[in-house]
Amino acid sequence: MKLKKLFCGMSLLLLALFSACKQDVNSLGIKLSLEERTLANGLKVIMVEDHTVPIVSYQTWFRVGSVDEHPGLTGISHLFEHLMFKGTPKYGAKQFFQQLEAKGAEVNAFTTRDYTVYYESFVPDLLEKVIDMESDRLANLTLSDEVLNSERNVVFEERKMRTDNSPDGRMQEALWQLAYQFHPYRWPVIGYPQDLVRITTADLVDYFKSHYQPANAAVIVVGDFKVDGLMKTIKKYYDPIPARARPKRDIEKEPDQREEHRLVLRDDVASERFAEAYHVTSADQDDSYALDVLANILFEGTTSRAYRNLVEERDIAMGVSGSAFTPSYPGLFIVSATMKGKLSSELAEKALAEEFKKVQTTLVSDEEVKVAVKQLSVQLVDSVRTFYGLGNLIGIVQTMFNEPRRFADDLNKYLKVTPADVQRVAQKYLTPNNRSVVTLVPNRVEPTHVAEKGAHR
Amino acid sequence: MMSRKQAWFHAFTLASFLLSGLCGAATEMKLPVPERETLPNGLQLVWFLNDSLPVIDMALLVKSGSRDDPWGKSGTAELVADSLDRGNDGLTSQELARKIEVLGASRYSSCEEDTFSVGVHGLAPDAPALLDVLGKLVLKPEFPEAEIKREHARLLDRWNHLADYGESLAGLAYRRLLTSGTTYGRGSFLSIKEFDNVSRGDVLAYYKTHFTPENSILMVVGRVKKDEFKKQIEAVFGAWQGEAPKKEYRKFVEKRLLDTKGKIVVVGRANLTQAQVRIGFKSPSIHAPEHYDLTVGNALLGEYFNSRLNSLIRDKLALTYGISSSFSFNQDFASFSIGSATKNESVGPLVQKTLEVLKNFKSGPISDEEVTTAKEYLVGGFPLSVSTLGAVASRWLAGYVFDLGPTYLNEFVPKISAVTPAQVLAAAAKDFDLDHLTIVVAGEPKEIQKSLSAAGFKSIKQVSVKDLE
Repeated sequence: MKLKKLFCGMSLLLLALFSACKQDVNSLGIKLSLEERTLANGLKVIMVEDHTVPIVSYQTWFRVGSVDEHPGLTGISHLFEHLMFKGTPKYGAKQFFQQLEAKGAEVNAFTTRDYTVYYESFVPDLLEKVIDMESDRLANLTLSDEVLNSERNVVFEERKMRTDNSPDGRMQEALWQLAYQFHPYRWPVIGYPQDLVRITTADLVDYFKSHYQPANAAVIVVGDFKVDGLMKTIKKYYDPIPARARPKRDIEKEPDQREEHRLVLRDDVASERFAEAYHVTSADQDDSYALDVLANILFEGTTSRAYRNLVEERDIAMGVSGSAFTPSYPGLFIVSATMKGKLSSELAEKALAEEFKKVQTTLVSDEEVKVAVKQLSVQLVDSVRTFYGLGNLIGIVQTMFNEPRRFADDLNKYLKVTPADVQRVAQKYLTPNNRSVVTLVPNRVEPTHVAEKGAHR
Repeated sequence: MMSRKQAWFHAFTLASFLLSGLCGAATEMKLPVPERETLPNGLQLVWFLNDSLPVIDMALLVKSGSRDDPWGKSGTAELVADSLDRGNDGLTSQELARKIEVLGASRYSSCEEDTFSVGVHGLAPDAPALLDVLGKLVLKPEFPEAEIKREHARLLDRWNHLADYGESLAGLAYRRLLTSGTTYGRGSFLSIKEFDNVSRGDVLAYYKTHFTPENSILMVVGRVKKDEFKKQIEAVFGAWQGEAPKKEYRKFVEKRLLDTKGKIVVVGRANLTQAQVRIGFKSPSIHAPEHYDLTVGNALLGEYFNSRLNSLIRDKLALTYGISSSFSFNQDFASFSIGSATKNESVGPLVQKTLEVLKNFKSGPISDEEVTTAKEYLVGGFPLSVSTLGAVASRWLAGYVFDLGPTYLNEFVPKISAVTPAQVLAAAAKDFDLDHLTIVVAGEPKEIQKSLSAAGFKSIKQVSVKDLE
């Protein structure tokens, strides 16, 4: 699907030195008014003024993630995110915490495959200080061998916690590595240890110059402020930052997968687990909506098809889950399950294959699609319960599509999904040759390949 | 098992979130005040109404939990929680689940040590249908024998996965040691042996004793027309009868870990490259006069990034990705805990440095600047902690369970603001019981033992996962 071009995204009101537009969003009984501006240096600013509670969520989204890395330097995006808190000549190390967190603000950041986000939630009195500090580190971050070496050790500990010592973490890392052969989604966001040790300060300086610049960022502000006053302050601090050309992404395309990939891991776990990944499409394609509906029909709730089959009826798995991950580039439909007792994951794989076959050969009902869409609607409403949640939704679509209101169109897109669409995407993507499977096997137990009769203890 | 999704206010652990959340009321912030009433049968209704979003939550809090498990039958309340939706009012579990899942809504039931909660969450126009399901869950469970057996087996399956994660192992062993000798000593699941004794009869008896209107509160949060909806609530819950149960608690001593007193306990789990560390002690109750002094003290010690613990252990020494401290509260028990994780070879230095921080905190000095910063952190963070209706309702309910009074949320800022450095130091000196620390490390036993020994720790006790089952 071609990106929808909103008039405000195209207008260039250069007289005001920045483009501006205001548009209301009214969806699911939620009314919002989004203000969108672009500074002369290319920085996008999206604002939602809301005085319900005296809180502001300030989020800075950079269109850079592990997808922008190269073999040998994996993990630099996430490591760099840590170093963004290490200070500038004006605000030294730990000042984000001293000046903001110590006043009650929530201060944090996260890195994904497609983007990196820095966010603060705070009382309105701190707004100018946040803008000052965020703009300052965008322009003047200090990098040194000393802070790099110290923070690298912290990242190693984070990696041990999230991946090396987590059965789920190990499986997810292996699954992405198995599914992708060429695309940079194949390596983990946190990076490989052998790459992390070789990252130098010079690498980080290059990375900073390439990706951390106004034209590659969007500031999302939601909460208790006045738009005009906020823009004045933002211009005061960000306008002096020079414009640079937005970096172009040159991402290697993943060829079609032509045969199944399999990997077996071992660990000290009580029972077998497995995760399957099927290549699917990217977020800008309408198939992504049908895939979400398909995932809900199969996996959402205890009456979903797969849960009912594997957990309720056959009683062979402790749980099963699945979802369509459709990011900026073609993503994965990921399914995972943990087996009961000593049962082999082959049993669950077969049961899943049967469920996939059913949706591929027989149309799901209108009622099932309707329920799935309603579930997705509730999830959407829940995600905007907080200013942070709303800002997050806006940030994702702004960073991926340059369309900050796009999330409000999601419901309409879901409402258009038909049983035939669900069948079509199931047929197109859920095929054995398009699948990668990682199985985690207990070190000490030989699996049973037949379901135990009367699995109850 | 019931869905735990959207269970934003079933977390009645009444633990650290209470302290980190009730950080004082910002003077300019008007907190929503609930409307309260009591039905003739004793059921309390609490309303937090707001029409900003088209969603509604209903939660029934039962003032009993796993501490109320029959003696010798630990795990009963857990089994009740997991069996509550396995056959209700003539509907199978799948039929009941379908009634709520077709609305895009979710349900949950869970128990903590002092409380039990059952709730539903969905879109506001579906409130009557959600209420109908909640009524079936709370009032009409049938607990079919086959379903009880099934949930019993599932709970055991989950229990068998305990050692999959070092974090779970450390948390369980730490809590066992800390609460041994108290009425919380059994936890929510003491042993497979005890759980094997739990029958359908026990489940029914627990339900009948504790699920009564006099022992419950029904909270409605979100967009709904109160007068109209109250009539519907009365139609569903009005005929419910039952008195508040009489409770007697016994202390439980964990004999399997008796000889670990005064020792660092290492729970062995092979092939982990990172060890989980827990350090703590019993602390004063939430009603103690020095409660706010300790709250400020904890903040500067281990709540924020520039706290003493994090500044040293993570930021300066890079021994960990995170270290933090907190107080947690039950009705009749309270504790102070520090949690962290580090590579096996760093366990000794991490424990050593953490103990030094604790000793320095207890002995002082504590600077004016530190206390001022901690107070600003707590007061400034309050609006964030109550920025949604659900968050306010959750905190209100926690205060209700602890009998903290109707205005305690609004008292917090002045009480925090009034804390002085001398009071923090005095509370630390009085209540930081460093002579009776509980220290638990879970992970690769040989590596951990080596690291602890190299750091000078001699009194170490190795235990296995079996000792916890």
